Formats: sequence, structure tokens, C-alpha cells
Amino acid sequence: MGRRRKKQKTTASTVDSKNENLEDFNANDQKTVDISTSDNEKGVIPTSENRELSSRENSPVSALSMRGKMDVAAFSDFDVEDDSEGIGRITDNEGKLEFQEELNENAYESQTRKKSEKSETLDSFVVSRFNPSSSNVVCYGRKDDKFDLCLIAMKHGESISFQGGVLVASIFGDSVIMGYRLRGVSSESSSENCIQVDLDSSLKFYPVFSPKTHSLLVIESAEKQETICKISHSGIIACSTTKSIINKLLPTINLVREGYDTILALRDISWCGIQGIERVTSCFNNIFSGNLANYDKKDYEIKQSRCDFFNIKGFYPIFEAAPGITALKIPHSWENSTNQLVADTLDFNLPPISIISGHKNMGKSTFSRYLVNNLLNICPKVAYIESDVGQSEFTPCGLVSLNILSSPILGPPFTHLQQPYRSYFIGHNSPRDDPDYYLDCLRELITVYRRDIACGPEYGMYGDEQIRVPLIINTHGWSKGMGYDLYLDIIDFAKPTHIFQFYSTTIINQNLPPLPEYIISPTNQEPPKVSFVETINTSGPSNKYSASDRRLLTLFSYFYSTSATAVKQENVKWWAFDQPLIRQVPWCLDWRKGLTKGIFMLSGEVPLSQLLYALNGSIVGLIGDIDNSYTSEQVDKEMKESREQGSQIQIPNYFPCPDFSPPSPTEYTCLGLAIIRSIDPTSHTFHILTPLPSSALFKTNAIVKGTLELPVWLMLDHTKNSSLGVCGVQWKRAPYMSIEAGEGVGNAAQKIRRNIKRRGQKSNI
Amino acid sequence: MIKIPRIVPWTSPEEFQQVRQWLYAESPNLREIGVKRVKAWSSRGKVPHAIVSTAAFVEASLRDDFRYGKITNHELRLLYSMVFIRFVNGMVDPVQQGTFALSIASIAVKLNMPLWFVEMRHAGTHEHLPSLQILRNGCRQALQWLNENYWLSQKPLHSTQIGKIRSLILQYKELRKEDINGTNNRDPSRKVVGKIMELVSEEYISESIIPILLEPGFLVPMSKKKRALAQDLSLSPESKKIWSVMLQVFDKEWSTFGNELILGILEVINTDGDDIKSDLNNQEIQTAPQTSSSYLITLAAWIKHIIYTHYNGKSFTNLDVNNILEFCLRKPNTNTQLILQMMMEYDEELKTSVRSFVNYIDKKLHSEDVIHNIEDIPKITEEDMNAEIIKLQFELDKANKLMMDPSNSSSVISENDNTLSSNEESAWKMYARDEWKACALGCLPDGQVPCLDLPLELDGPSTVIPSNM
Repeated sequence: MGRRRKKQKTTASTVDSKNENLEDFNANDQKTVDISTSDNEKGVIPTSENRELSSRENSPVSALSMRGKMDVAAFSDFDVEDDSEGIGRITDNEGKLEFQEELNENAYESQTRKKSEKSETLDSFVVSRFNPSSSNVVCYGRKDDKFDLCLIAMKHGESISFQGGVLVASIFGDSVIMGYRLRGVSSESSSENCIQVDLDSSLKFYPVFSPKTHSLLVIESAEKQETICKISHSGIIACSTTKSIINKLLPTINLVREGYDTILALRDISWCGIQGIERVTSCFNNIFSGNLANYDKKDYEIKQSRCDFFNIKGFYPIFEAAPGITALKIPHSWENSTNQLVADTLDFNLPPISIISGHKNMGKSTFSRYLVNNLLNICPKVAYIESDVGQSEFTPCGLVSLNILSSPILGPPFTHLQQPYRSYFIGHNSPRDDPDYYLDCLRELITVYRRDIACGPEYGMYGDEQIRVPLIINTHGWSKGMGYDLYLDIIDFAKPTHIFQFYSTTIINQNLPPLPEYIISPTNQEPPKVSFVETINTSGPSNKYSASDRRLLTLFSYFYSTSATAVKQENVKWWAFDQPLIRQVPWCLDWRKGLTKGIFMLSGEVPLSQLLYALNGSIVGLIGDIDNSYTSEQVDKEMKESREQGSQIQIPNYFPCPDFSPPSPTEYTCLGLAIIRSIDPTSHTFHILTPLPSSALFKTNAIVKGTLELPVWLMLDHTKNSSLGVCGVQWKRAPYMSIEAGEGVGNAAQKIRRNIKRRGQKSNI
Repeated sequence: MIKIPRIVPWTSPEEFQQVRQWLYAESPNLREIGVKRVKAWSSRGKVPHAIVSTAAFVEASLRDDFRYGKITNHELRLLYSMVFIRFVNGMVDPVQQGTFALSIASIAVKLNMPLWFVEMRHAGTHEHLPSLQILRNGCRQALQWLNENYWLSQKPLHSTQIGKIRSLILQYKELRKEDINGTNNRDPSRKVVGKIMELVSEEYISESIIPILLEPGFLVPMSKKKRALAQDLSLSPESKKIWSVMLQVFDKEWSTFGNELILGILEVINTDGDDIKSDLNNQEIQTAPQTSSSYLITLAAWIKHIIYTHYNGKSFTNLDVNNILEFCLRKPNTNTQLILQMMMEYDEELKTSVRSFVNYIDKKLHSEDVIHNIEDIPKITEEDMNAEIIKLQFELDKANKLMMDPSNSSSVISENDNTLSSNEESAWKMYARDEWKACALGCLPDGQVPCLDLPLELDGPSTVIPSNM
């Protein structure tokens, strides 16, 4: 009783101080600078001084990051299990400071009780440092043309943060988005007073996406940097009409008098169709549409008119802080580490290999994007190995992949999915069921990189010089137990030259233990450079959308992408959300001819007689040979063998694991994911929905099934508001769906919760 | 309001019941099939824990019964204990919603689980491994407990229940007749309605209640005098008074009730009517037996009444007008035309968009009456073709209604790829577009899930039951 009262008092004070500190934390960068400068590259674990720092203040970050999975379970309908953490509870019963733990407990209680208060904290950084006026924003005025274009003139230090999507091209001066430097195509000549874009030069627009699900992106004007080499990346090439329109608008910007340093051209990208993703499920409403709904009614006109200056559909610059949105602010420690890597890339003989590691939700993916963009400033291509199966950057979940990037990454993963150079289907959201296979696949990816890509002649630059393609490896966020062992194994065979390890000053138990000696000072080679990277403040949108939400976004984006996505064709839809999957005409795959290898079942022990029950209406991976050396004679032989079985329905070859080994990474590559939407056993056909082009499909010779679950949203028709069923079929007759709440005990499928505590247990989350 | 269904691993409630019968069957072979099917379900995910536990207990008991493979007692104890531990944990864990763990015993009380299950689980985890006798006992009791607390509480539809429902509805009707004639006391009839609702869950409305209501003697009175009049499709006031109470209560309780009722009526009405297309080809008009015109007219009158109350906001507010519209447009005949006209009276917007189509059907319907030879087939004038175009446009617009930007960009949906070499040898072909109909995931275009069974012999000899059984 008495203890309870005491708790409540502390809670109240915690809440107040929490708010103050949040403002401090945001505005004041000093702490981060101090910590990073105390690092040296040999790796310094957070000292006791740092530890004290965190416990002294009522660390807001710890309170906010400790939402755990409790809230998501209570407030979201989706699967709570976040597999990247692996088996077992986080038993952090090792002696922690007692009052740190009580502090956490209080903060946790207060946080769960006052969830709404968290979302009301405003991030002052999200406001654009830019005053739009008729002198610095010039729009192309023809409304009937449906061609939105505007020119923006900025000075150093100005920045625009925005929500939505836009195409950006740099006309004059330098600007930086997410670490990628856009260089102006035209330069000011002293003789002329105004700038013109050369109609013969290539002007490229880059798509930038900034939805509410992640921190909003910021377009900054930057100091001009002299470059040695001019590197071009693929983007949308502007046609001559666009260029001439720009040239017409340019004279209206008085460059010299106003002292502008950067001029950018913006065009709308709303034709790509990504906004359609908001309608697939209601929880992603308005992630791209502007935040105008949140403004007070009386200020509405003022805000509206500021956006109107730009007149670009789908582009909503932020001029006022609003709850729930934050902008991406790159901490100094990130800049320092990245600059070091860039310098090393230019110096080294061989391209550097970097590994990014740390607990989940620390900002590893964001940092990796930042790193890639910075490297793209000096290299035409960057290689990226994704080893986080649950939250991949360029592919849907369940795959490990090696990607070659030749254009900047300006947006969250679901806006830039691309076909990898090589990938393997792991089939789960975490490698915990078959870590050996996972490591085999990763080993093979790294071998392929070393052999084919690192200094491959086909990636040769202009001239005789061989191009070096640096590699970035993103690891999973599973930092304890088996996950940590996997991490050490990856370092062992990747032999990175740079290791970026994330740490948090506030949640100590999430930090990785110090790297073992054999990594820090290996006997026969250069030791890797280890830098410690501070985690960014993770309050804000990344807390509202969990990892499973992001997986959903990626799956939606993957299955609804069109053939235009790969080539980035202009003015053609890249995502076709208007036609729900259940209405799409599927491919028919005759498994007698098409699956010459067979069907792999990665987990569980589904007996062959029940195989079709497991496959109907599920997500599978399509795999094919790496080299197309599978000759037709072999095909005929295999088909003959199966025919001799003499059964009425010819069965494909079946390989359940672990009785059989999973598809070998040296022989097979994963072509992509597909949904088996229905099966017709009498005609031996699988009906398949997949975004892959037919050239890839014809290479398929096997199907792999893991445990990836098909989200219910993909089984519904989101364009129709039917409450009765789907496609004219009532819910009762639609397979795999039930509207009944479900009676009886044990009706729910197993949900895993790892944050439960016992009274009197000393533990931290 | 859109209800989002939850995902289940079975294709139909029938499959669910089938598996239940297999798992609790006498024959061990059937039990083994049940276990195999649950394994296939497990690879889909989202299997309710009670089902997984049942299958695990059955599998362990099969291994115990036949001792196939010469398993030792100790191994059996380990097997059973593990199943028990996972069973209890899986039942108890979802109840742990709070910040702190509740004791398992307290949760077991909440779940109506015998306490000694918890003790067994505790023993298996922390103490001496329980003996084989008590584990066998426990397995048997657990299966029984699961049967009572999970499988049987799924409200399946037995034929006996339909009989009960019918007698309850009749009881209601009698009580209401008394109410109207005598004391205006509504309570007994409401209680009966309550009893009906207890027996039926929302998913089974269209199988249980609606067919009963549509039988002669319920919504449609037995005596033809009391039925609706053809001219204005008005119901007798007595019918309205008798049934409106029940209909309103059902509508409040189950949001899909109104839609199911109307669709049920439409299906009955339309077994009599024919599609226009088929009329041109064959001249036989199929009549469904036992459907006299007064019966159908009364049903149509009920639809009119329901639509009327929907548009007046009095009840049936959940009516999905679009769905009804789609149904009527798909099956154009006299009856659906009547309904379309009724709806047009109340909804101005509908009127304008559908009017030309209604005129078109009108024309077709009247022309078919005089078809005797081929020469008499009316020539399709340009006006008719325009009307057809309007109809198609209407369908297209409906599909496009929710699109955000009707931008001038066209969507490139792999058109080029589809035409790529699909020669006879290729295993990959696009489904023929003219044969394709949108259907739920898991179903073929005819709306059915095909038989997905593969021969059991493919699994090889059983690993659990010796072959001489």
C-alpha cells in the first residue's frame, strides 16, 4: 500500500521531467558530440562515466523506447511476435543499478498510462527552415496541363522537410538529401547574369519518398564541394520539354541579388501510385497525404497557402510542428564515422567492407541508407548485403540478398524494392530455425561479392580504371544469445574493414558486448576499424509503427508493384493498388513441366498427402538455377521418372526439411516471392500471383515454402466496401477466413510475449 | 462498417468439423489422418492453440497405444510431459495481459481447467517426471476437457438445431398473434427471439434462420388472401406487425442480417427468372416448383418494405445497397427490375445512373416475349448499343469510383510480359482472361475450393501404427 503511493508520486515527477528533457535532448547536440569524440577507433565501451550520465537524468529515451511489445499487443491487431530477437526471454538479471531499474519501472508504468502524452511531444526540428515567397519559389503555372513543376532557390542553412513524395533535380549549387549530394548541372558563368540548363546535358530527377511511417526527409542546401570525378547515377531523365520549361522559369530567380546558393527543380511523382497503399488497410491512412488535418481550423488557410506556393501534388512541406511526425536529423557521430569511411574508400586499394550492427530499433537501417548515399557520392555503385531477414531494405521479408545499388536511396524500404543480384529464401522472419543454412547463404553471398563484384571489370568506370564497389552489410538486430553468435560468425567470414557498432547511452543492456580479441586484433591481417555510432532518438513515428507493420508495407508494395518499377519508367504507375490481388488474373503453372526440381518445405513436417492443403493460398519463394545450365535432356529424364509412379495425380518431387537439405546456395538462387492463390489438382496447375516478369518466371524450377504468413489484407478487396464477404462470396464460404470471434478456450493462435515480469523481479527491458 | 475477418487455417467450417471427427474417432487410422491434417495447418500458421494441443495429445497417445518403433517407457513419459507442459502454457499465456505475471493456478481457475493439470505441468518442468499411468490418465482427461471447452463450443449446426429453431420461430409467431389481438405484451415474444439468438451465431444465419423464414407459413403467410397484392406490392399490416419485432431485433444484433435476408429472397425469386442471355438461345422457361406467383410477389413486397425502412432510417441501416445493386445488375429479369425501380424511387443518385440500363432491360424483357422464330429477334439498334455501352461504363465507373487520381497515365500491368512466348511447351501461361472471374483467394473461379487431397499412400507406411492393424 505504502509502496504504491510512493510509486505514484515518483511517476508524476518522472512525467514532468520527461517532457523537459525531451526538448533538451532534441535541441541540444552537445551530449552526442562529447561521447563521440571520446571514442577512439579501437573501440571504447561505454564507460562508467557514461553509465552514470544516463542514470542521472531521467532518461527520456529509455522511457520512450521501453514501450516494448506491450502496447502493440494492446493496440494493434497484428502479429506481435518480433522474431529478430530469437528464443527465450531477455534475462537481464545481471546486477544493474537498483534505482535505474526502479526508474525504468516507474517510467514504464507512467508511459503505459500516459501513452497519449508521448505522442504529443513535438519535434521542433521538423519545421522547415525556409520561407516560401514568390521570389524563391517559382511555379510552372499551367494547371490544365497536369504538369507540376516548380523551382526552389535556397541559401545555405536553409532546409525543407516534407511529407509525401516528389522528384528532385539539382539545377545550380549543391544540396543534400539523406546524405546524397545533388550537384547542379549548370554553373554560373561570370559573363551572363542568369543560368540556363544546357539542353544537351543530362538532367536527372530522383524520386524522394517521405511517409509518416519513418522520420521525414529533409532537403538541405549545402556548401559546394569540388569533386574530382563526376559520377552519374540512374534516375529519371528529364526530357527537353522539361528542360525548356525550367529555362523559362530560371530568369525569374534573381540569383545574384538575393545571394541564392542552390536552385532545385521539383516535380510531382503522384502518378506512381504509391498513395494507394494507404487504402489497403486503415492503419496506414494518410502516411503520404499531408498533415493538414491536424491543424487548427483558423490557421488552416494560412498553412494551406504556404503549401500552395509549391503547387506540387503529393508534396507537403512542413512548416509547423505537429504531433507524431519527426524529421531525420543526422547526429554528428554519424557524420564523423561516415566521413572516415569515405576517406578510406578513396585511399584503399581494395574496396572497403563495412558491417553495421547493434540492437534493433537503434537506427541501423537509417544509418546504412545514409552510408550508401554518402558512398554513392564517390562511387558509381555500392553493394549491399542484407542479412536481416525480418526487415530487409530492398526485398520483402524472408530473404537474404546481395544488391547492387546505382541510384541513391531516398525513402523507406517499401518505396525502393528492387531485384537483387543474388538472393536466398530463408522462409522466416528470423534465422533461428536453421541458423546453419542462414550462415551458408550469407557466406555464399559474400563469396559472390568478392569473386564477381568487388573489382569486377563489368563495373569498370570510364576509362581504364577498374571501379571498386564497396560493400555494406546490414545485420539483424538480434543482439543476444544465438543472435550474437551469428553476428560473430558473420564478422569472421566477411572480414570487414570497418565495423560500425551502435550503442545507446541510456539503455545499457541493449549494447553489444565488446568484440572479442581475435576480431579486434587478428593475427594475419589489418585490424578492422571499429567506430561506435550513437543511436538516434527513436521517439516519434518509428515507435508507432512496429516491425510487423513495416513488413506489411513491404509485402503490399512488393505484390502490387508493376513492371514499370524496375525500369523507373516515367508517368506510368509503379504500383497498381487499384486492382486488388483477388481480382488479378493469375499465372498458371503446370507443375509437371514447370517444377523440374520440386517443392521444398523448410519447416514443419507436412506429409506429402497434405501438401496441397499447406500450399493453397500461401506465400512461397520461387527459386531457379544460378547458371542456366540445366539442359533439356535432364528435364525430360526427370519428367519420365515421375510419370512412372503411376499415380493418378502426378505429384511434384517433394523435399521436406530437415529430412532433405534446403536448396543449396551454390546451385540455386531465389527469383522472388509469389502467392499460390489457388490450386487445380486435376490439371496439375498452381495459380500464381507474382510481380516478377515472365523472363524470371520461366527460370523457375522449384518452389520453397517457409512460414511466411499471408496477411489478411491481401485476401480482401480494399476497393469495395463490402461487409458481406469477398468477391460476392460470403465470409462463411470464403476459405481461410472467419468473421466469428471464435469461442472456447485456447482459440487464439500462440502469441509470444517477451516483456512480462514477475513481481519482485529485477529486470530491465 | 467493414468487419475484418481473422485468418484460420481451414478452408471451410466443414473441414474444421471433419478434423474434429478424425481426432476423436475410434479408428486409429482416422486419428492419424487428423494429426497429419493439423500438421499441414501448422505450416500455414495461426492455428488455434487448442487444436495444436489436441493433435499433440492424439499423436502421443497413438505412439503409446501401438508402441511402434519400440519406444521405452521413459521416452513416453518425456513425450507426454512435453505435450502437457506446452498445453498448459499455451492456454495460460494469452491470459497474461498485465504487466506482471499472474500465478498459473489462478488463471487455471478462470479457464475452468482442472488444477491438477497445472500440477502435472509443474511436476514435469521442475520436479520428478510424472509416472506413465498418471500421464496417460491426464492425456485422456485433457482430450475430454478440450472437447468440451473448445471443440464443442464452436456452435456447429446440427440438423436437430434447425428443428429447434423452426419451432422457436413458430412459437414466436403464435405469441405475436396473441399480442396483436390481445394484450400488447411484448415480453414473451422477445424472450423467444432471445432464445433463437443463443442457438445461432452470425455466420450461420443464412443456413439456419433465413431458409426457415422464407418457407411458406413464415414471412409469407400460408393463406393466399393474406399475401401481398401485385399492384402495389404492399404487405398486409398483420404480416408487418407480426414479424417486424423479430426482424428488428435480429438486425440490431447481427449487422449482416438485413443483407443476408435480402440476398436470400433474391436468390429464391431469381430461380424463377432467367437471364436475358440464355433466353435468346433456348426458349424453355424453367419454373421452380412450388413457387406460385403470389408467394414471389409477397417476397418482393418484403424487399420493398425493408428497402423502405432502410431509406427512412428506421431500421436496417446496415443494408449494403451496392451489393444488392450488383446482384440485380448481374441477373436482369422482371423481378430484379422491380427491385431496381423500387430503389430508384428512393435514391435520386441511383436513378440517374441506372435509368438507362433499366430501360435497356425493359426493352429486352418485352422483346423476348414475342420471340418465336429467328426472324422475330429484334434488331439491335444503335440506341441499344449505346445503352450497352452505358451499362459497361457504369460497371467500369463503379470499379474506378475509389481511385484517387484519374490521372492520364495508364497502368502498365505486365501487358507486354503476358504475351511473351507462351508456346505449348512452356509451363507458365496466363489464365485465359475471358474465363477468369474474380474469386476469393484459395478458390477457383467457380468459387469452390477443389479437393486438395492427395492419396494417403504417398506418405509411405505409417510410422505410428503397425501395418498389420
